[in-house]
Order: sequence, then structure tokens, then C-alpha cells
Amino acid sequence: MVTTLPPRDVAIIGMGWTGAIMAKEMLDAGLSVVGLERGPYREPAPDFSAPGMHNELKYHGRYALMMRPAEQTLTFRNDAFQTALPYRRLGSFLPGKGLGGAGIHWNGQTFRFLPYDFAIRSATIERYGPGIIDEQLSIQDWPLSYEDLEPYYDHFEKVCGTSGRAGNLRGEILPGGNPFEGPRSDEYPTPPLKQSYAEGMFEAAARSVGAHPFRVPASNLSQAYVNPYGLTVHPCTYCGFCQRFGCGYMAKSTPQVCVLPMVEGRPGFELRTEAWVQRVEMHEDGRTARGVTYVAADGETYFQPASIVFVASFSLWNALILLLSGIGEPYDPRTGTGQVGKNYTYQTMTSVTAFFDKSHRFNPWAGAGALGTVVDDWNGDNFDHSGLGFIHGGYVAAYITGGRPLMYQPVPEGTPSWGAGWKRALAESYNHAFGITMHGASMAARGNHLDLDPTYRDIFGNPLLRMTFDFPENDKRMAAWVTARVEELARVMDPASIKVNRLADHYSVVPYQTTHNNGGTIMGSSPADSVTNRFGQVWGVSNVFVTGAGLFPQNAGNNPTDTVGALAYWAAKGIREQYLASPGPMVDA
Amino acid sequence: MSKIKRRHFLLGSAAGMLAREATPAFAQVPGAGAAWFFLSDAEADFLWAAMGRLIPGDELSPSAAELGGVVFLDRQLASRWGEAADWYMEGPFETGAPEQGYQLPYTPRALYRRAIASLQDQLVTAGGRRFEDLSEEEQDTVLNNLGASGPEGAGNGGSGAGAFSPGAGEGSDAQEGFMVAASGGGGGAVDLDGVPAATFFDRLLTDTKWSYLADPAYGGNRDMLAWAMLGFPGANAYYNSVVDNWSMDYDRPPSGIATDLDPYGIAGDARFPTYDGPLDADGLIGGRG
Repeated sequence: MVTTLPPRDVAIIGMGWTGAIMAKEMLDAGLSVVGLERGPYREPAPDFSAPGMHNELKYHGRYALMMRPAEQTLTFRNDAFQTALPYRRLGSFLPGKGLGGAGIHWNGQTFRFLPYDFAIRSATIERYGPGIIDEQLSIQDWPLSYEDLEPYYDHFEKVCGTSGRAGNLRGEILPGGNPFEGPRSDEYPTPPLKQSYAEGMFEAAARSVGAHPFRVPASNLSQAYVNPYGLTVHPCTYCGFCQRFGCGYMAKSTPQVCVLPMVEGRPGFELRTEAWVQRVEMHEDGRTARGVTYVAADGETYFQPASIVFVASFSLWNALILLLSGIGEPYDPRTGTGQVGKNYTYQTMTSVTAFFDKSHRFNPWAGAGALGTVVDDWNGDNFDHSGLGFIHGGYVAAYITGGRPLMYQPVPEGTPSWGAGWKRALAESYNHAFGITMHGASMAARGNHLDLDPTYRDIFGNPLLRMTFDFPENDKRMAAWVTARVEELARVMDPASIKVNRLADHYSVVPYQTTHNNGGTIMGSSPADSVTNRFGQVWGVSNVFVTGAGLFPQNAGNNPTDTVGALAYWAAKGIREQYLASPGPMVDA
Repeated sequence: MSKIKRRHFLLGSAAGMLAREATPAFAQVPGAGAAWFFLSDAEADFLWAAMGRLIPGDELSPSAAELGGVVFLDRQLASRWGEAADWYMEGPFETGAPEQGYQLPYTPRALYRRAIASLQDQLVTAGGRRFEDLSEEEQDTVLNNLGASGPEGAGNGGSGAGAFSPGAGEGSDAQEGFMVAASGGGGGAVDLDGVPAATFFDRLLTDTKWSYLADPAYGGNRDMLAWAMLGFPGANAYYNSVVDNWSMDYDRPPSGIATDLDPYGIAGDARFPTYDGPLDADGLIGGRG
């Protein structure tokens, strides 16, 4: 039996970063808002308090802050010739569950995308001609430019308090920053973090090969900061328990610290946790949403009527909700028809570990999630790709995010995997090695997509999402080339040895890589090639808005969160100024 | 009337109404040995020997077993993780590609129970001795063969050639030939009652390393000796004056999440512990951590 609740103006599916931002923006516009979060309530104290939070087995090994596949997961295959099988245990990506979503347990690496990323297809063709783009790739230009989004990047970074140094301030190239970045209207809100030894070594090596090192923009803050909402973010203690952990010091920018106090307890807002949205309910004409159906903590099913629905539950589950709700047409890679599920992308990760003698102590455990020094010289179209046989690239960074030993067991090439030799190598390497990461782009390809699995179901009886994905050939060639640059850089540091961790021949869901799952609900200029317009408004269903990285037509080399936050603020402004005044399509189809 | 309540859950306590409920505070799983929450005495004997070879004792540190590895693993198997409470365990179960990850229908409890029993059976059949009664060199050979017997995930759940084939190796030492994978044309991954040997080995090796390197509140890494060996300070939190003190020689002792308590929470030793109080769902003795 389904109980119908009193109507609200806005229903938000998922209360992570974008759910929190949309809640605030819609409340500010005078609307009534109900936020529906499938997971539990969480707040920094006591939920993230040290020392209990510094329990690597619980939070890293047993994923205490993440989703539980036992409840809902997805199935995976590399290509259509395989049968997709369930992602039974977490591995490659770690979606969140709970108030704050993955915004609680992210590392805080806060990069903007490059201007090139937004116009990737046209800019690539203009410079190189169309032949450089593999037929397999389905990349497309975004329906907005870097310049459109810049003021919202600026705003989100100020909400976070991100620590960094501008490299291009209103067109002026500044030392110490990224000379390749798109022009910024303002400096970062706080200065860069302290720099570690490994980063210093990397920076010197990068300069010596002619690259342009700068500090990773960090939402683990270098100093105390009050954001535009009057909320305080505390200075990072470099405790080294960032990714997969909550921050009890309130030094990591999260929805809890930076946005939710402006939302919770406010008249017109209601937060319901342990409320698992099943689908968006539509009017019979299929053109307007009526509200959402969810299962509550008591096991009962409720229908929440709403005039506007935000699908803000994370890229993967947003695609699932649209598919289960019958919104839009599912993408069929065989025919190329349909848009929902198209252009699923990920992140292309490699690394090189450099090993040194005992005179070099890198103290990896004194770290922070975004403590790093980086070069952008091999990202985007920042270098001439003529004759190289691929497009895009990645950034290259020396990160010191922590030395937690379940995660971090560096041993040189050729070390046995167990026994006395393993132990000795680990003891000799642990404090005398560090890694250089290649964080590479992920191009959209025609076969890589999301749809509904025909066999497996979740605890509610819904079909699981099915993911079909493998690294496109372009990305394999890109990764090989940029990794070779990383190798050269590592050797410049004159280490005792290096170990190159190359891209696997096929994408595997087993080893952790990133939780940067993108696409599936992409934005575009036309319903013929996208699910939403540039505001995340679903083509043909004007009162449903999608947020998050599912909107990305393809993925950049940089981490997604800054762009996710910026897009949310950009969309919210458009919705407040245009949609609320005159509900209906905001962009002509 | 709306039944919606706002709930506030502390981390680690409730799992939500719709989640698969794992058994809460444990006493003992029926059939466990007197000292153990889950393991039989025979399984504990095997693990003491195996973990003692995977990370042996030397001047750097005692072995993983001596540092409480079996205690750690026993408690983990008794915990929610041991029953795969968070894993998706719905069928159908199909053999997949390695890229598709774990596809066996076995919880960690089932995996260990089957694999250890099968391995011991095969060893006794081949050479009359259980693993723990072999010499250290023979034990290392068996472990090497387990680890080399095929890629993780291949043949999930039993590809063909199955159990024990006395190998074509030199000498008459049946242990030497044990579990040489029948080569040629795929398959031949050694089967331990449905668990590919490589899958069992990877599981055991990971759990041994984690017993050695996790917080001592979980029963292993006794006295934080593994952390001291590495120079990892543990649950300490404030490094503002360390991070940019390049190549600083940091010499403070490590600390854990429950430093005011006996890390085992028990009386006794790593080989024959006695326990005091119930185990919580995460594998910690009542309320610690």
C-alpha cells in the first residue's frame, strides 16, 4: 500500500553535494523542499570523530561510509559479447550512502576542467582535423563553455574555501599557479597547503624537464576560513585519513560543513533520511513528473507529490532512476538510438612509484587528501598531439594522501608477494618511496553505456543497473604515452628503482581506481544527442532536473567535483531566474 | 498519519531496516573451538602455520601469527564481514572474466571452511601429513603452488581438472608435486571444494597482511609492532609541524584507536586466546574502537 503525503514544491532525490546545494537554492527562492536520502543521517561530531575515525580496517577495508552492494549494486561487463555479472564487492568505485553522500569521504582534489574540455570536439577538429578522433568515440561538445561556468566555479570554490594559487588571473599568467588553466576571475579563497618533501622533489624534477608545477587545489584547507554562508571550515591537520574517511576536524569541505547548516532546521525544509527513492512518478502524458515514490525506514512505501524533482543521487543511480521511471528513451548501442545511458565514462589511471635509499624519509602518513604538486603539461590539448595517435591526456601529480598501511604497501619491482622477502622490502620501502599519479581523461565511446540488467535485482525487486565499459583504444594509447612522460620524470629524480603501474589491457572492477563515474544522463544542445539541456533539465520533461557528473558528455583529465558543484550553482541560478518565473522548457529543443 | 521518523544513527550501529541483518553481538558460532568465535581448533592450527609462513618472524618483527593473526581472522570471520553481510550474494552465480571480480557463492566463512578442509584432505591423501606438520620449506612450497595455480577469478567455482594431480616434478616428494596445475589448454586451476586455489590464496594472503597491519584493537599487530617496524604512527592525528619538515626523523611511538586497553581484550596469548565479552558486528570486543 502506498501512502500519499502532502505535496511539496520540490523533492530532491539524494542529499549529497548537489542535493544540499539545490535545497539551499530552492529554499532561498521561497519554495518548500523535501530532501530524500536513502542512507543514514551523519554529522561531523560524533560520526567522524578521531580516534575512532582513524580506523583503517573499518572505513577503508570494510567501507563503512559507502553503499552496500547487498542492498543495491550494478552488473558489469567489458563489452556486449559478455554477460554482465554483479559487482558483488566494492572495488573500482565507492559510491556513498548517507547524508553528504560521497562528499563526506572524498579526497578534496578540486580542479576545474580546461576550456578545451567544454569544446572538445570542435576544438580538436579545428586543430587536427577530424581524422584524429577514432570512429569508436562519441565525444561531443558541452552545451556551455568554460566562460559560462567560470563564475560558478568561483562560487563553489568559495563555498568550499579551496586552498590554491591562481595561475591565470583574468588573463594574467602568475607564477606558482597553473599556466594552462582557464582564466579565473579571482584568486583561490585560501593559500596552498604546506608542501611535503616528496612534492618538493617532484617539483624540482618537473621544472628540470620544462614542465610547470603548481600545488593541487585542495579542499582540505590550509587555514581557518569563513565561507559566503558564514560557515567555518577548520585548518587541516595533515592527519592522513582523508579518502574513505569523514573529517572530524571539519577541515575537509563537505556538504555538512559548507552547505547543510544553511538548510537543516529551516522553515520549509524537511530532511528524510533512510528514505530510498524508487522512481519518479509521471503524469499519463509522460511529459510532467507528479512526484517521487520512496521506501522509508519503516519499510512502508510513500508517494511524495512535488512540482519539481531533482535527480541528485549520483551519476549511476540517476541513470537508474530515469530508466526505472521510464523517462527518456534508453540508449541502444546497436542502433545508436536513445539517450539515457549513453556516453558512460570513467577515469584513466596509471602511476609510477619511485624508491629511494633510507636517507630520504617521505613520512607519507603526514598527508592530506589533496596534498600534492601537479603538472598540467600533458593534459587536455595543452601539448601538440600531431602524429601521436590519440587525443586528450591527463594531469601528473605527486600526492601525499596518507601512509595507511592496508592501502599503502610499496615494494619494488620483483618483490615476492609474501614471505621474509616481502616483509623486508616493505620495511625498507615504506618510508622511502612515493608515487606519481597519472590522472587521465576518459573519452566517450559508442559501446560504453548504462542500461537495465535483464537478470539481477536489488532488495526492492528493481532490476540492477548494467554497466558496459572498457577503456577505448584512444585512452589506452593516451595512457601509454603520458605514462612514459611520468617514467621519464621519475628517473630524473635519480631513484634507486622505479615501478611502473600501467593501464590494464581491460578495465576491471576489482582494483580501486576512482569514484569518478560520469555520463549516462548527459547534457547537450539537442534532444537528439543528450538527455538534458545545459541546465540539467530533462528534454521533454520540464520539471525534472538532473545534477551531478552524469551530465558530463565525456570526462576530462581532472577530478569531477569542482565541475559538479559549479554546474549545480549554474543550474540553480537559471532555474530561479527563468524556470520559476515561467515553468517550461528553458532551452528550445 | 505519516510514519516517517527522522533517525539518527551512529556509524557502525544499525544497518538500516532493509539491510540484510547480520547476527549481532556474537558469543560463539556452533562448532568453534573453545578459544575461538568461529574457527575450529583444526582450522586454527592450519592458520597458525600458514600465516606464520606468509609473514614469518625475523629480526624485523614476530610473525603475523605471533602478532595475533589467527585471533584477527577468527574475529573477522565471526563478524558481519565473515558472513558477507555487505556483499551482493544473489544468484545466479556464473563464472566470469577476472575483470568482473568475485563471483563465487561463498561467504568468507564458507570459503575458508571449504578450502582449508579440502587442502588438508589433499595433503593427507598425497603425503600423509597435514599442512602444519610439514617442514617450513614444504609449507612454503605448498603456498607457492597455491598462489601460482591460476589467475584470481579464473574458473570461479570449479573449472574442470580439479583436485590433486601429483606433478611431473622431480623426486618422490608428493608435496613437491602437489597442486602443480594441469597445464595445457586452459582450465586446470586447482579446486579446493569449489574454491579455486588462487582465490583462496589471495584471500588468505590479504587477510594475513591485514591482520599484521590493521589496528591492534582487532586482535592482530600486537603491541603495534608491525607499525613500529614501518614507522607508521597509527591513529595519531596532528602533523602540522611534520608535513613540511622535510625528511624529518619522526620517532614517537605509534598509537591505536583504543590505546588504553589490552589490544586483544582478552587474557591469554595469540595461539590459545581466551575471550572476555561479546564480539560486536565489526569484529571488536565489546565497545572498543
